[in-house]
Amino acid sequence: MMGGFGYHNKALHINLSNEQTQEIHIDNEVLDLIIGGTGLATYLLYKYCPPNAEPLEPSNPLIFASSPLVGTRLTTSSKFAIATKSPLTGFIGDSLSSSYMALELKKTGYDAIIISGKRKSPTLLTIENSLVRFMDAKQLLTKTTSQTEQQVKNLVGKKFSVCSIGPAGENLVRFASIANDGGRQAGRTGVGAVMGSKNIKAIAIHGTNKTNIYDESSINRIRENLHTKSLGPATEKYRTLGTISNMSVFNRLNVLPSYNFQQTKFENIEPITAEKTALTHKFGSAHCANCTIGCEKIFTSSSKSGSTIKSRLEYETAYALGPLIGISDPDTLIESSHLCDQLGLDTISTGATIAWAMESYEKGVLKQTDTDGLELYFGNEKIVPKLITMIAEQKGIGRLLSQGSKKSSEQIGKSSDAWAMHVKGLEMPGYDPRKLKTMALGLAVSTRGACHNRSSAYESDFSFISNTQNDQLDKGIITKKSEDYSAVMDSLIWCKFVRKAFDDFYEESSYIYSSITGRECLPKQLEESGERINNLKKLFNIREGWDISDDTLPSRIFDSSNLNDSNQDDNLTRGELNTMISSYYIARGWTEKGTIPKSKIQSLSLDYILKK
Amino acid sequence: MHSKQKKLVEIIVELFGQAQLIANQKEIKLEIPRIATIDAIAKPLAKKYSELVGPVIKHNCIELQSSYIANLNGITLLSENSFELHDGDHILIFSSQAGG
Repeated sequence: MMGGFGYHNKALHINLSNEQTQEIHIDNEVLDLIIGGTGLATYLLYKYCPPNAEPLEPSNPLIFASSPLVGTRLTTSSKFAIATKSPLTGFIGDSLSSSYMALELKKTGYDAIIISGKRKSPTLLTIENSLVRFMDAKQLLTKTTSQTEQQVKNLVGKKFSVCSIGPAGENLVRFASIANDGGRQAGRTGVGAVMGSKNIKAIAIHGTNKTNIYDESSINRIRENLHTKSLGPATEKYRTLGTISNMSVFNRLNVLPSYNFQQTKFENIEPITAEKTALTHKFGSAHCANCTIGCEKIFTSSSKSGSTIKSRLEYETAYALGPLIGISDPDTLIESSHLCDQLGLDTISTGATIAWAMESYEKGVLKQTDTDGLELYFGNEKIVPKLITMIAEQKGIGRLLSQGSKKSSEQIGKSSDAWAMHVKGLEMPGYDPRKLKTMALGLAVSTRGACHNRSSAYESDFSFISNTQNDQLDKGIITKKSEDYSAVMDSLIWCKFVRKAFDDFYEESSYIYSSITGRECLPKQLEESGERINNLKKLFNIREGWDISDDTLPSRIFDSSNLNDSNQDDNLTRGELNTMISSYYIARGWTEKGTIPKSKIQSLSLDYILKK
Repeated sequence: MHSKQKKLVEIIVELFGQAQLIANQKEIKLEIPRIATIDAIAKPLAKKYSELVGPVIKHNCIELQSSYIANLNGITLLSENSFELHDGDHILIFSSQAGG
């Protein structure tokens, strides 16, 4: 069946166990309601993941979803979504990545690839248009993500784009990532562990199918306009120093979590600020396919052994492998970031799990006999690269830590869950919720766990427009709206770094959607799609056992007694958070227990599309 | 004389990110009116560090580029309205793009 405009109207289901493939039709009515990207991936996850599936069992599908913007060459549009049931959280795991893989995925002629089942031995999966091949990948085992990508390209040809797992994914580290295109990472929620559980070391994708665009001239005009705007003030930070420039600002504002959230300020910040490392370390910018911004800043470091290491440093990585574990040496930071990318580890979960281990060691809960002789105190830069490797290889103490902070603390006990800094099992990003209170709500209610990207609720806090004790009710509405906005961005898919280039996001994006698909799309419809997608994520979580106790923050967040420079505004009480959560449920039209009423499911047409 | 009665106050402007690298300064002392608007900060900054004009300060020298915001003592966002300053106050100038 021929695809329409902007979509191919079909997904490919690959069963790894029996090598069967099946084309699945997806009609425009469904696509208009869930858009693509994260929305489409969530929809397919709900349908193809059996209820209560174990995340690392064959029945849990690994879904790659394209989006209507891919192929338009609009700036930052070359992105794709991955969804699966997360081995870290047991709830929805979704992650985004970008660049040439997104283009090749779309050119296969499918809007999504659903991978279920399991191979008996390590496999390289190749997808060339509708042709699926299963190739032996034993020779790729233990290879880093870069080595794997290079060797696969040598094997199948450079026209293929390759995504792969490193040793961490092979060893089922629960926060393993999937890498593509020279180091882009679908980092969060352990998607790499699910790929590893299926015995898929790498996926090589190439296609030759063109995306049909309804109104090419409009898209060409918009492309020019966005291109210009994306090179102006709207993206200045991302183009110049990159997101690592958050380090000095967040530290100054006392919102930079340090020493496993025991502090909100890091006294040794100077050497690892963007302003300093830009002077002490050579760095350059890298771009994803079709991106005009070039947010990736690649820093060069000389390792202790004298070799040169190049690695991207962005804020979350610098926070998690820096202040969170007491590290202020930029060379250790660059080396740690490099190791995580090459071994295939999510940097946030890696840093936060090491932070849990360091605090456990300092409190005497973990002893040197547990840590293979490693002295796991905060700031011990000598042991961090080694510990990262041990996690990826599941060796020694790395075996415990490979489960993430939640499961590690459950295994060790001794009240160590009190300093396991996660929500729903996903480790916390670098925005301290004691002061950033809208962010606190966003982190607590996020369907994928502690995530800054699925709500971007920090925007409100940093604009300082919603910062008083009296507006807790407003924060529910703000968070709901910012989650819905993020879901639309993640489904069309736009990179969030281009967001300020829009004067009216919904107005402009709905016009773009209509120009691509040829179907009318009003701004309100797009906004409602964001709401629908978030409700669908929540429906999945409810089906998988979510209850209201999962919407919370680590207990440490409610205790500010140890904070330096603490003041009244830096406190967050359980009562405040609960009030905000209630206001969020009200804003969403959910019950007071946080469940979704049938009437809401019907009004969003979720019952209808899930039957299709 | 008590600072509240002074017409001018001494404040410290802290620059972050690219603004800091362009001016090659982390902190700049300024003497500006006690009741001020953003232009009272932008003008002397532009005069002292002309290289900030364009990337950080608009060419009219009275406004910041939209890529930057000014914050008083790490607490209050400074808008177009006038605000009251005291000796020793810190004005932080950093990126308006919070994400990362």
